[in-house]
Amino acid sequence: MTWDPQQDGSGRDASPVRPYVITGGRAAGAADAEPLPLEALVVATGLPLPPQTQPEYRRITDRCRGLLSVAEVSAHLELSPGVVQVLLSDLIAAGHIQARPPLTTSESTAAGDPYRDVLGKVLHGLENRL
Amino acid sequence: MGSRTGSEAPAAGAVADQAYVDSGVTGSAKILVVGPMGVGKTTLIGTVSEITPLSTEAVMTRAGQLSDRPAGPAKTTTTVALDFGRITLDSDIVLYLFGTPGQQRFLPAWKELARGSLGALALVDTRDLEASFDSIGHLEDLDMPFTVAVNHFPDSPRHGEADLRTALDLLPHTPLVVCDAREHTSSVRALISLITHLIESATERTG
Repeated sequence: MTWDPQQDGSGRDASPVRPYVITGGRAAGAADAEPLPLEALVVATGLPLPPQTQPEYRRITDRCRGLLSVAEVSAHLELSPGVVQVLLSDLIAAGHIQARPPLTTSESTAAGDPYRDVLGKVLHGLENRL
Repeated sequence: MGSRTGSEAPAAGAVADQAYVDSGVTGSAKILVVGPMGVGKTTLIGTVSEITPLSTEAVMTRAGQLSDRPAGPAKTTTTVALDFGRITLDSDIVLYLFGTPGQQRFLPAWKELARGSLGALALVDTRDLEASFDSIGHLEDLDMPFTVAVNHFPDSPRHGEADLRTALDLLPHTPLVVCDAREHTSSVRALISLITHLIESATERTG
Protein backbone atom coordinates (compact mmCIF):
# COMPACT_ATOMS: atom_id res chain seq x y z
CA MET A 1 0.00 0.00 0.00
CA THR A 2 1.55 3.29 -1.07
CA TRP A 3 0.43 6.66 0.12
CA ASP A 4 1.23 9.89 -1.61
CA PRO A 5 0.41 13.05 0.30
CA GLN A 6 0.26 14.98 -2.96
CA GLN A 7 -2.60 12.82 -4.20
CA ASP A 8 -4.46 12.54 -0.98
CA GLY A 9 -6.95 15.04 -2.31
CA SER A 10 -8.70 15.47 1.01
CA GLY A 11 -7.18 18.90 1.49
CA ARG A 12 -6.60 17.98 5.10
CA ASP A 13 -3.36 18.02 6.87
CA ALA A 14 -3.01 14.25 6.93
CA SER A 15 0.27 14.25 8.73
CA PRO A 16 2.59 11.38 7.82
CA VAL A 17 4.45 11.93 11.06
CA ARG A 18 4.79 8.89 13.27
CA PRO A 19 2.99 9.30 16.59
CA TYR A 20 5.94 9.67 18.92
CA VAL A 21 7.53 12.28 16.70
CA ILE A 22 4.59 14.51 17.64
CA THR A 23 5.44 14.11 21.30
CA GLY A 24 9.17 14.50 20.81
CA GLY A 25 9.78 10.86 21.60
CA ARG A 26 8.04 11.01 24.94
CA ALA A 27 5.71 8.24 26.00
CA ALA A 28 3.04 8.67 28.64
CA GLY A 29 4.29 7.57 32.00
CA ALA A 30 7.84 7.25 30.77
CA ALA A 31 9.05 9.92 33.13
CA ASP A 32 8.02 10.52 36.72
CA ALA A 33 4.32 11.33 36.46
CA GLU A 34 1.64 8.67 36.00
CA PRO A 35 -0.27 9.09 32.74
CA LEU A 36 -3.73 10.63 32.89
CA PRO A 37 -6.18 7.76 33.25
CA LEU A 38 -8.30 7.04 30.15
CA GLU A 39 -11.46 7.90 32.07
CA ALA A 40 -10.16 11.26 33.37
CA LEU A 41 -12.29 14.15 32.11
CA VAL A 42 -10.71 17.08 30.33
CA VAL A 43 -11.99 20.41 29.04
CA ALA A 44 -10.37 23.40 27.35
CA THR A 45 -9.96 26.45 29.56
CA GLY A 46 -10.34 28.84 26.62
CA LEU A 47 -6.88 30.33 27.08
CA PRO A 48 -5.76 31.04 23.48
CA LEU A 49 -2.87 28.98 22.11
CA PRO A 50 0.18 30.80 20.82
CA PRO A 51 0.11 31.18 17.00
CA GLN A 52 2.98 28.78 16.35
CA THR A 53 1.44 25.90 18.31
CA GLN A 54 1.77 22.43 16.79
CA PRO A 55 -1.49 21.46 15.03
CA GLU A 56 -2.09 18.42 17.25
CA TYR A 57 -2.33 20.63 20.33
CA ARG A 58 -4.85 22.80 18.53
CA ARG A 59 -6.89 19.78 17.46
CA ILE A 60 -7.09 18.72 21.09
CA THR A 61 -8.15 22.10 22.47
CA ASP A 62 -10.69 22.47 19.60
CA ARG A 63 -12.16 19.08 20.42
CA CYS A 64 -12.26 19.78 24.15
CA ARG A 65 -14.79 22.64 24.00
CA GLY A 66 -16.92 20.45 26.24
CA LEU A 67 -16.06 17.74 28.78
CA LEU A 68 -14.64 14.53 27.33
CA SER A 69 -12.63 11.65 28.71
CA VAL A 70 -9.06 11.07 27.60
CA ALA A 71 -10.30 7.90 25.85
CA GLU A 72 -12.88 9.90 23.87
CA VAL A 73 -10.33 12.52 22.83
CA SER A 74 -8.12 9.69 21.61
CA ALA A 75 -10.96 7.97 19.72
CA HIS A 76 -12.35 11.17 18.18
CA LEU A 77 -8.98 12.36 16.95
CA GLU A 78 -7.71 8.89 16.05
CA LEU A 79 -4.56 9.48 18.02
CA SER A 80 -3.18 6.77 20.28
CA PRO A 81 -3.98 7.32 23.98
CA GLY A 82 -0.26 7.41 24.74
CA VAL A 83 0.19 10.41 22.47
CA VAL A 84 -2.98 12.11 23.72
CA GLN A 85 -1.89 11.64 27.34
CA VAL A 86 1.43 13.36 26.68
CA LEU A 87 -0.07 16.25 24.71
CA LEU A 88 -2.81 16.75 27.30
CA SER A 89 -0.24 16.88 30.08
CA ASP A 90 1.59 19.63 28.20
CA LEU A 91 -1.66 21.53 27.68
CA ILE A 92 -2.58 21.15 31.35
CA ALA A 93 0.84 22.42 32.39
CA ALA A 94 0.42 25.43 30.10
CA GLY A 95 -3.08 26.18 31.40
CA HIS A 96 -5.00 25.34 28.20
CA ILE A 97 -6.72 22.23 29.52
CA GLN A 98 -8.27 21.52 32.87
CA ALA A 99 -8.51 17.90 34.03
CA ARG A 100 -10.92 16.33 36.47
CA PRO A 101 -9.24 13.24 37.81
CA PRO A 102 -11.37 10.11 38.23
CA LEU A 103 -13.32 9.71 41.45
CA THR A 104 -11.35 6.60 42.25
CA THR A 105 -7.63 6.31 42.08
CA SER A 106 -5.61 3.26 42.96
CA GLU A 107 -5.17 4.68 46.47
CA SER A 108 -8.84 5.32 47.12
CA THR A 109 -9.72 1.88 45.74
CA ALA A 110 -7.53 0.36 48.40
CA ALA A 111 -8.45 2.80 51.15
CA GLY A 112 -12.15 2.32 51.63
CA ASP A 113 -14.45 5.23 52.27
CA PRO A 114 -14.18 7.44 49.17
CA TYR A 115 -14.42 4.29 47.10
CA ARG A 116 -17.52 3.11 48.92
CA ASP A 117 -19.06 6.53 48.50
CA VAL A 118 -18.55 6.38 44.74
CA LEU A 119 -19.92 2.86 44.59
CA GLY A 120 -23.04 3.97 46.43
CA LYS A 121 -23.61 6.77 43.94
CA VAL A 122 -23.00 4.49 40.96
CA LEU A 123 -25.44 1.95 42.36
CA HIS A 124 -28.09 4.61 42.86
CA GLY A 125 -27.55 5.94 39.35
CA LEU A 126 -27.79 2.49 37.76
CA GLU A 127 -30.97 1.68 39.68
CA ASN A 128 -32.48 4.86 38.25
CA ARG A 129 -31.67 3.51 34.80
CA LEU A 130 -33.87 0.45 35.20
CA MET B 1 -6.64 -1.79 14.13
CA GLY B 2 -6.17 -0.05 10.80
CA SER B 3 -7.54 3.15 12.24
CA ARG B 4 -6.06 5.04 9.32
CA THR B 5 -8.12 3.34 6.63
CA GLY B 6 -11.08 5.40 5.60
CA SER B 7 -10.43 7.77 8.44
CA GLU B 8 -10.52 10.91 6.37
CA ALA B 9 -14.27 11.33 6.65
CA PRO B 10 -15.09 13.21 9.89
CA ALA B 11 -13.65 16.68 9.53
CA ALA B 12 -12.06 18.18 12.60
CA GLY B 13 -14.13 20.66 14.49
CA ALA B 14 -17.73 19.56 14.23
CA VAL B 15 -18.81 17.65 17.30
CA ALA B 16 -22.42 17.06 18.13
CA ASP B 17 -23.31 18.54 21.50
CA GLN B 18 -24.50 15.19 22.81
CA ALA B 19 -21.00 13.82 22.27
CA TYR B 20 -19.86 15.89 25.25
CA VAL B 21 -20.25 14.85 28.84
CA ASP B 22 -22.83 16.98 30.65
CA SER B 23 -21.08 19.98 32.15
CA GLY B 24 -22.67 19.25 35.53
CA VAL B 25 -20.75 16.00 35.86
CA THR B 26 -18.26 16.20 38.70
CA GLY B 27 -16.25 13.06 38.16
CA SER B 28 -15.76 9.79 36.36
CA ALA B 29 -15.23 6.15 37.16
CA LYS B 30 -14.64 3.03 35.11
CA ILE B 31 -15.57 -0.60 34.95
CA LEU B 32 -13.93 -3.26 32.81
CA VAL B 33 -16.03 -5.62 30.72
CA VAL B 34 -13.84 -8.62 30.05
CA GLY B 35 -14.13 -11.87 28.15
CA PRO B 36 -13.09 -13.71 25.02
CA MET B 37 -13.76 -12.44 21.51
CA GLY B 38 -17.37 -12.79 20.44
CA VAL B 39 -18.75 -13.14 23.96
CA GLY B 40 -20.76 -9.92 23.68
CA LYS B 41 -18.61 -7.28 25.36
CA THR B 42 -19.23 -4.61 22.74
CA THR B 43 -22.90 -5.59 22.51
CA LEU B 44 -23.36 -5.07 26.24
CA ILE B 45 -21.43 -1.80 26.21
CA GLY B 46 -23.52 -0.57 23.27
CA THR B 47 -26.76 -1.60 24.99
CA VAL B 48 -26.13 0.49 28.09
CA SER B 49 -24.01 3.31 26.62
CA GLU B 50 -25.44 6.74 25.85
CA ILE B 51 -22.91 7.14 23.02
CA THR B 52 -22.19 4.80 20.14
CA PRO B 53 -19.30 2.70 21.41
CA LEU B 54 -15.96 4.17 20.44
CA SER B 55 -12.67 2.47 19.97
CA THR B 56 -9.24 3.37 21.25
CA GLU B 57 -6.19 1.40 22.15
CA ALA B 58 -4.62 0.23 25.33
CA VAL B 59 -0.91 0.68 25.20
CA MET B 60 1.08 -2.15 26.63
CA THR B 61 4.26 -0.74 28.00
CA ARG B 62 6.98 -2.50 29.86
CA ALA B 63 7.75 -0.48 32.94
CA GLY B 64 11.22 0.91 33.28
CA GLN B 65 12.28 0.33 29.72
CA LEU B 66 11.12 3.57 28.23
CA SER B 67 13.06 6.33 29.89
CA ASP B 68 16.29 7.74 28.51
CA ARG B 69 15.97 5.93 25.24
CA PRO B 70 14.56 8.06 22.46
CA ALA B 71 14.01 5.05 20.23
CA GLY B 72 12.39 3.12 23.03
CA PRO B 73 8.66 3.68 22.86
CA ALA B 74 8.07 2.27 19.40
CA LYS B 75 9.95 -0.87 20.32
CA THR B 76 8.59 -1.58 23.75
CA THR B 77 4.92 -0.80 23.30
CA THR B 78 2.23 -2.69 21.49
CA THR B 79 -1.44 -1.91 21.45
CA VAL B 80 -4.75 -3.67 21.75
CA ALA B 81 -8.09 -2.33 20.56
CA LEU B 82 -10.48 -1.29 23.32
CA ASP B 83 -14.15 -0.58 22.75
CA PHE B 84 -15.76 1.68 25.29
CA GLY B 85 -18.98 3.45 26.10
CA ARG B 86 -20.29 5.71 28.84
CA ILE B 87 -23.33 6.24 31.04
CA THR B 88 -24.08 9.47 32.89
CA LEU B 89 -25.58 8.63 36.27
CA ASP B 90 -27.83 11.08 38.14
CA SER B 91 -26.27 13.85 35.95
CA ASP B 92 -23.39 13.79 38.39
CA ILE B 93 -21.04 10.89 37.66
CA VAL B 94 -20.05 9.48 34.30
CA LEU B 95 -19.29 5.77 34.25
CA TYR B 96 -17.03 4.43 31.50
CA LEU B 97 -17.17 0.81 30.42
CA PHE B 98 -14.05 -0.54 28.76
CA GLY B 99 -14.24 -3.80 26.83
CA THR B 100 -11.04 -5.71 27.32
CA PRO B 101 -10.07 -8.81 25.34
CA GLY B 102 -9.27 -11.81 27.46
CA GLN B 103 -6.44 -13.63 25.80
CA GLN B 104 -3.24 -14.24 27.69
CA ARG B 105 -1.16 -11.96 25.51
CA PHE B 106 -3.27 -8.95 26.44
CA LEU B 107 -2.55 -9.20 30.15
CA PRO B 108 -0.09 -6.27 30.22
CA ALA B 109 -2.82 -3.96 28.91
CA TRP B 110 -5.06 -5.04 31.77
CA LYS B 111 -2.63 -3.91 34.41
CA GLU B 112 -2.74 -0.38 33.09
CA LEU B 113 -6.52 -0.40 32.75
CA ALA B 114 -7.07 -2.03 36.11
CA ARG B 115 -5.63 0.97 37.94
CA GLY B 116 -8.54 2.87 39.44
CA SER B 117 -11.19 0.51 38.06
CA LEU B 118 -14.16 -0.10 40.33
CA GLY B 119 -14.28 -3.73 39.26
CA ALA B 120 -15.03 -5.95 36.30
CA LEU B 121 -17.89 -7.75 34.66
CA ALA B 122 -16.62 -11.06 33.24
CA LEU B 123 -18.80 -12.19 30.36
CA VAL B 124 -19.12 -15.91 29.73
CA ASP B 125 -20.59 -17.83 26.82
CA THR B 126 -21.70 -21.25 28.06
CA ARG B 127 -21.20 -22.68 24.57
CA ASP B 128 -17.48 -22.20 25.11
CA LEU B 129 -16.70 -21.94 28.81
CA GLU B 130 -13.03 -22.65 28.31
CA ALA B 131 -12.59 -19.42 26.33
CA SER B 132 -13.36 -17.47 29.53
CA PHE B 133 -10.77 -19.16 31.73
CA ASP B 134 -8.01 -16.67 30.85
CA SER B 135 -10.12 -13.59 31.67
CA ILE B 136 -11.28 -14.95 34.99
CA GLY B 137 -7.75 -16.05 35.84
CA HIS B 138 -6.39 -12.57 35.06
CA LEU B 139 -8.97 -10.91 37.30
CA GLU B 140 -8.05 -13.19 40.16
CA ASP B 141 -4.34 -12.58 39.58
CA LEU B 142 -4.91 -8.81 39.59
CA ASP B 143 -7.02 -9.14 42.74
CA MET B 144 -9.81 -7.24 41.01
CA PRO B 145 -13.31 -7.89 42.34
CA PHE B 146 -15.70 -9.10 39.63
CA THR B 147 -19.06 -10.58 38.83
CA VAL B 148 -19.54 -13.29 36.22
CA ALA B 149 -22.35 -12.60 33.76
CA VAL B 150 -23.41 -15.46 31.54
CA ASN B 151 -24.47 -13.90 28.26
CA HIS B 152 -27.36 -16.09 27.25
CA PHE B 153 -27.56 -16.92 23.56
CA PRO B 154 -30.63 -18.58 22.05
CA ASP B 155 -28.79 -21.87 21.59
CA SER B 156 -26.90 -21.74 24.88
CA PRO B 157 -27.12 -25.01 26.75
CA ARG B 158 -28.85 -24.75 30.14
CA HIS B 159 -26.51 -25.38 33.03
CA GLY B 160 -27.26 -25.32 36.71
CA GLU B 161 -25.51 -22.59 38.66
CA ALA B 162 -23.56 -25.11 40.72
CA ASP B 163 -22.25 -26.83 37.59
CA LEU B 164 -21.20 -23.51 36.07
CA ARG B 165 -19.43 -22.47 39.25
CA THR B 166 -17.54 -25.72 39.33
CA ALA B 167 -16.65 -25.53 35.65
CA LEU B 168 -15.40 -21.96 36.01
CA ASP B 169 -13.76 -22.72 39.36
CA LEU B 170 -15.35 -19.63 40.96
CA LEU B 171 -14.77 -18.64 44.55
CA PRO B 172 -17.94 -18.93 46.65
CA HIS B 173 -18.34 -15.14 47.05
CA THR B 174 -18.08 -14.34 43.33
CA PRO B 175 -21.58 -13.57 42.03
CA LEU B 176 -22.85 -15.35 38.94
CA VAL B 177 -25.74 -13.84 36.99
CA VAL B 178 -27.39 -14.56 33.65
CA CYS B 179 -27.98 -11.69 31.25
CA ASP B 180 -28.88 -10.87 27.69
CA ALA B 181 -26.31 -8.36 26.48
CA ARG B 182 -28.78 -7.11 23.84
CA GLU B 183 -31.29 -6.05 26.48
CA HIS B 184 -30.93 -2.80 28.37
CA THR B 185 -32.60 -3.79 31.62
CA SER B 186 -30.85 -7.14 31.71
CA SER B 187 -27.44 -5.56 31.12
CA VAL B 188 -28.01 -2.81 33.69
CA ARG B 189 -29.04 -5.51 36.19
CA ALA B 190 -25.75 -7.31 35.58
CA LEU B 191 -23.90 -4.06 36.33
CA ILE B 192 -25.98 -3.54 39.47
CA SER B 193 -25.07 -7.02 40.60
CA LEU B 194 -21.39 -6.16 40.13
CA ILE B 195 -21.65 -2.86 42.06
CA THR B 196 -23.58 -4.53 44.88
CA HIS B 197 -20.81 -7.11 45.11
CA LEU B 198 -18.16 -4.37 45.14
CA ILE B 199 -19.93 -2.61 48.00
CA GLU B 200 -20.10 -5.85 49.96
CA SER B 201 -16.43 -6.60 49.33
CA ALA B 202 -15.40 -3.06 50.32
CA THR B 203 -17.42 -3.36 53.52
CA GLU B 204 -15.78 -6.68 54.37
CA ARG B 205 -12.34 -5.29 53.72
CA THR B 206 -12.62 -2.19 55.81
CA GLY B 207 -15.09 -3.34 58.44
